[in-house]
Amino acid sequence: MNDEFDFSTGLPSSEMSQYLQLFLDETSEQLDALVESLLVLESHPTDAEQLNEAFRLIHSIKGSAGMMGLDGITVLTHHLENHFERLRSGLQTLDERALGLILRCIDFLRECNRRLRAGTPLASAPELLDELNGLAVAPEGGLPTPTPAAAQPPAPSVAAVVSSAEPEPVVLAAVVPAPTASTPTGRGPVTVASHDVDYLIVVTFEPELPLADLKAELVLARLAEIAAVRETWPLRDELANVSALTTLQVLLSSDHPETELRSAADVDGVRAVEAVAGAREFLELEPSESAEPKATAPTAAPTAAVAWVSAAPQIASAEAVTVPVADHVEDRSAHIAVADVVTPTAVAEASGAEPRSRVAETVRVDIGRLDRLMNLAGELVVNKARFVQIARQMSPVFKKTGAAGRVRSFGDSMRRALQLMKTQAAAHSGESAANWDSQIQELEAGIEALEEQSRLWEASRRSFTQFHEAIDQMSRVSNSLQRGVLETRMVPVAPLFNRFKRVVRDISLELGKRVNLEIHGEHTELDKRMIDELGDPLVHLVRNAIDHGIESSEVRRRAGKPETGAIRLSAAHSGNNVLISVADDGGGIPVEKVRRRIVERGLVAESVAEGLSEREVVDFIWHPGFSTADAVSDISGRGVGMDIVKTRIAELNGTIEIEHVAGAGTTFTIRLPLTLAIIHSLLFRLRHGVFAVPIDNVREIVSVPVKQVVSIHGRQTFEVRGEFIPLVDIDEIFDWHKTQYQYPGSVSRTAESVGDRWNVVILQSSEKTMGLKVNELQGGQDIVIKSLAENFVHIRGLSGASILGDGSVCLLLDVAAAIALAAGRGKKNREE
Amino acid sequence: MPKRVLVIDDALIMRMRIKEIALESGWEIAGEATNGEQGLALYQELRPDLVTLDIVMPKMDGVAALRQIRELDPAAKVVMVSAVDQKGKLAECIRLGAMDFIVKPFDKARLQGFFVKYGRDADSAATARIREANAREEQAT
Repeated sequence: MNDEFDFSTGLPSSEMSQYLQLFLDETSEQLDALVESLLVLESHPTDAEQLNEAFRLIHSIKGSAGMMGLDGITVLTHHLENHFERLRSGLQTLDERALGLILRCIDFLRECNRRLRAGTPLASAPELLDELNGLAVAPEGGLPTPTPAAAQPPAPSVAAVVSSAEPEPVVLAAVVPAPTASTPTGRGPVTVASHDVDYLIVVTFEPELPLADLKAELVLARLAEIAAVRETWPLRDELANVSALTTLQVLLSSDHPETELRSAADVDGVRAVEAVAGAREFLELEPSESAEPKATAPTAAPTAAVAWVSAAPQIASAEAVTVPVADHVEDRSAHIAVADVVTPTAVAEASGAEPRSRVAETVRVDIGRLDRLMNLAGELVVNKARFVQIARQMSPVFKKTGAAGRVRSFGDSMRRALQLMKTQAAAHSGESAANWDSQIQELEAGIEALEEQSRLWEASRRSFTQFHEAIDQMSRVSNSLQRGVLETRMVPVAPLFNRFKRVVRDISLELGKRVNLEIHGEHTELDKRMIDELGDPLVHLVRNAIDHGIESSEVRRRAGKPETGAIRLSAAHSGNNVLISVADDGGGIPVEKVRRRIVERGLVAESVAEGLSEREVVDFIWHPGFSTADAVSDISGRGVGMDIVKTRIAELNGTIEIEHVAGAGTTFTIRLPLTLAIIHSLLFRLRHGVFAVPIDNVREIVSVPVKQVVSIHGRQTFEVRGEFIPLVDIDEIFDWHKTQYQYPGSVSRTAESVGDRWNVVILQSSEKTMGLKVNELQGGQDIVIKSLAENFVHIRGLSGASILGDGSVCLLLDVAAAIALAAGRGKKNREE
Repeated sequence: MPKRVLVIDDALIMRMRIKEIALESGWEIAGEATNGEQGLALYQELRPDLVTLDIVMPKMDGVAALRQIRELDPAAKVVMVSAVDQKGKLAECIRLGAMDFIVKPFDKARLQGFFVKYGRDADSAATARIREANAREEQAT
């Protein structure tokens, strides 16, 4: 790991590519959380908890990136981590410059994720690394960046070697840990018993093992549990200073079998363990060739060896060792007694905080799979509808309850009649008698067949009742299944909303305005796909609110408002809809300014503009190419935002409305269906077939006397409670009367009046209304929407199609587009 | 009977990787936890043969979790899985009785070797103890 790392080759190693999706999901969340931490730190730069949290998040990203083999990300996060380490330890404080830089690093990491998702090579960011390194140069004169221990330069100073040559304390400290440093759970040394055997254990580590010195410590600690470690080479205190440590030799006494000693020494990273038993005098403990600290000063090894020899006699004295050990053991048992009392409650508390979730984990599922599942659940619902329809068609046959009884009594009276015929027939003879007989037999067979049929019918009737029950059962299950699948797609809006803390911060800094963001209802759940699509429109709205809505602090002060403006982002459920609103406490929409602007832009003639109502003027905000900003700022004011916002929301089958109070603020409210996949709709029949409109777009259904339809400016119009509403035929929307295809028996109009009245559905979208003539209303139904664009072609005015119970296709009207189309066509027709 | 491991790490990808390698090496996954607190509770519930424990985690870090797990069960076998720059904390973990540590990022072979080693290790120690006991009995008779 070093600074001149080449970022361009940073794609995940092939072995790990199966984890890429997980990596991206997890780190994206971690980056979001990191931004949140940073925003808290911005106002409380020394908040220890947040510093720890940020450090942890970065550390975690670094770890995951390391596993993925994404070295570029690892290097960057390593440097970030270093900086947070300095912040945590209080050596530096988070200043504005560092914060900005860290945020840019986060942006870069997000960009990395985006590229990884797209499969493109990662960009390089040497300047970020340089700047991060620049941060390290603290006023205190430069702090050493924590470098990996393996890379730590060894070279123990002569002084260190000399001091370690002092015999007693060094080795004793290594063998017996000071009582204060140990805990009840720590490792306890073993007392030396008389029947102990001496061993020489030689442990060989893998070459270039990271943290080999710690591994050596580990081996010693593990051995100390079952043996009394007498001497080690290298000396325990010097382990950290030995570069490329490959061999550890340990002289110890133990009554445990050799195999246990071997396995205690055989930790991860150990290549071989040798154990030699024998009297201590015969065991030689000498620095081996491979263990010689080559890179260090050549004097180090001999000096250590001298120290070793001089230390040996001191250790040989058994009392010197056992006395402190006995103390320690006593100390230890006391601890355990206390621990036994304390532990259960401590653990109960811990387990209470996190209820026994065995694997407290959510499953990450590719949204494509959920889509397929949703589709299948939808098909099931459609099939269920077919069953219901078939059952409905069958029910008249089985509903007539008395029918079987009537057949039976009919059979009985026929038999009686036959009996009469038989007595009559007996009076005849010859050919006539044979004739009678065959007639009677034929009738008898007929009666039997009828009765048989009646029995079958009776049995079927019972089956039909069961069939009904089965359909009911299936309906319940398929509805639950559909709801269940829907719920799996629902995620809280919180992550989306939380992104705006950063957005608001950045924009308000850039514009020099003071703005607070309030978030409400962040637990409201919405279809995941919808949340993904909502980001951009919301950013536009929030930018717009800060740029145009919130006034400068001077203006606010003069108006008697708090100098800091407020943006409120909220979400809430409303029936089958979710409402998401962006509100500001700014100056509201300057209606007269907008009115002037639409004239300037040539959107309407001045005379027309003067006659427009306030609401009509405000509606021009959605007009493509409209902008009221005096200066085109970097953030908004290019006039490309609001019309796109509206289009994007409409694509989600949603609507957006503006409410504003002059001087007090503006609220944009987005109304979205809970999901894109299922829409509660009103179905009606036209001559072409069945159509549906989302129930949210239906204002009311009226019956309009033909005589009351009047023509205004060449458009058919009718009156409802004093309001004039245009009346259109589906053909006017789609121009179908101009096509070559003629429906059988169709005249110029596809809808027919019933008697002398029209059935009219009044459709509404963003406060525009239109009456649509329909032939027959079929009621409300949840329909599963299939995309027309994916399966056929996109048709303006239609937002999709669905398959109905009878297997026929039903088209779903896109009401906003249909109203616009009808208005356009009406105009064109008048001009012609 | 396969040995059971409890995986404690706040990074999903780490847990996935460790679990995958453990399973391939013939271990069973006793459970997994995303922080020390949860890990401690699960340790008490599941009593696994082995714990892999991350150091930097939310709520309760690996050092504290190790301390408490060892308090709960002084025979607990806990392996620290940590980045190289947590050396100070690793040293503390060794003092607290961690049985081993693995440096992140690790390659597959290392962790695999590790699981194989400790899957066998405990066995051989147990057999050794039995053999030793038998030998003592023989001597006594």
